[in-house]
Formats: sequence, structure tokens, C-alpha cells
Amino acid sequence: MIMPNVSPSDARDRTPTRRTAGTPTPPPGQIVDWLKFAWSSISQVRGFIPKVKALGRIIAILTQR
Amino acid sequence: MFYSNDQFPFTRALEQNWRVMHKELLHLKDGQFLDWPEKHLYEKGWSVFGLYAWGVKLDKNCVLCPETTRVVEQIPNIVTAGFSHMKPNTHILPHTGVPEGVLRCHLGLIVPENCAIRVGDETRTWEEGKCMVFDDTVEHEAWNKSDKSRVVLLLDFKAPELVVNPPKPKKGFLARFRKS
Repeated sequence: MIMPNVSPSDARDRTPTRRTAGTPTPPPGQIVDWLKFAWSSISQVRGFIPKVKALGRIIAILTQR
Repeated sequence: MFYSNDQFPFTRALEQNWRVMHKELLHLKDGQFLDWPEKHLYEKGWSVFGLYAWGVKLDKNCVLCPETTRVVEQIPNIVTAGFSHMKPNTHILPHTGVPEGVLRCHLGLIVPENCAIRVGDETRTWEEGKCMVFDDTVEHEAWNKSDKSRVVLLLDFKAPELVVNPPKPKKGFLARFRKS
């Protein structure tokens, strides 16, 4: 369903492809939150080797960010 | 920046199976969801139950949702899959996703009134049993102004030819520390 374009956010640059001035900046320590999240996710992977592989893959992706 | 579902045949399978996924969702408990790590985008009230994360299958969670997993695994190039739970009176502030060559699909599972998502200049509401596909590298925000939870099945799938902001060329790990 398409709604009238009413948003609760205040005035902002609507250029859609870049972060706007009103967008909060990620805190410097956010990588820690991502790693905690990644670790909690990896704990749902079965087996030691798959866990290690998953950890390596996730760290590779996070360090590309 | 929403896409037509006709471009993605798997959305039909998702919509046909939404009730069984909804049923599996109802068996999950609050404590099984993880808070989304980008906490600067919301005060509280956004959590996820992952089935796939960064292309990795989260086996133990998948066992709890076998039918949802079966449907999700039919989606070509799936990267992320899971239930996204937005509690009452939650607002996820405007943000852009990291360019990773994926598009995002939401399948509405529990959708109270006064919930919506804005992507670029267009605002839409979710509908239970209906998919919407969008590019999360375009600025977007979402809100649940109701007194009930909103839950969607969230999916990221690779579609680098369709995204507005394609991924940057990958650098070697050590290159990050070299001076340019």
C-alpha cells in the first residue's frame, strides 16, 4: 500500500543515495557491537570448524566496511 | 526506491507460504531475538532472529523454523534471512545500508496499523503476507507507532546489477593501514 509521503522525521535532504546531515553517525565503538552480534550469531552455527569458518568470513566482511 | 515483485519470482513462494512462517514465528520467544547492533539508529525495540547472516546458515535457529528455512533456501543468492521485530513506538532513524550488492525483501508477518517504511522519497506500509523489495543503500527509515509489535521476514539477496550503490572494489586487509 502506498501512503502519502509523510514521515516522522524532521526536514532533511531527501537525496536518496547518500547519508544525510540529519542521519546519526555510527559511534566509534560500533565494531564491538557488531562483533558481539556476530559472535551471538555464530553460536547458532553447528560444529567447531563451521564456526571458525563463519567467524573468518564475518570478520573479513566487517573489516571491508 | 521500491522494486516490482514481478522482477523476483521467489516473492510468490514467500507469499504463498507466509502463514506457516507466521506460525513458526509465534513459537519463538523474546529472549531468542538479538538486539540489532546499530543502536545509534533506535533507542530500543529493534531485534532480529537470524536464519542466515552474512551468507552463513545459523543451523540451531533454522531447526526451530524448518518451513521458513525451506522456503528461504529456495531464494537464489540469499545472504541474510531472519525475523525482524520492531516493538511498539519504535522509530528506526534514517540511514543507508552498506553497499554489498544486495537488495532487501520484507515479507509482512505481523503488521499493526501506523507502521511504515520510507525508502528515498516513497513511503509504504507493510501488508501481512505481502512482499516488498527495496534497495537498502538508499536512505530509509521505519517506524511502528502502534501499541503492538511489527514483525517481518527480512531477506537480503545478491543482485549487484540492480542496486543503486554497488559495492566498492575490495582492498586487501593490509591495504587499509597503508597511507595513500
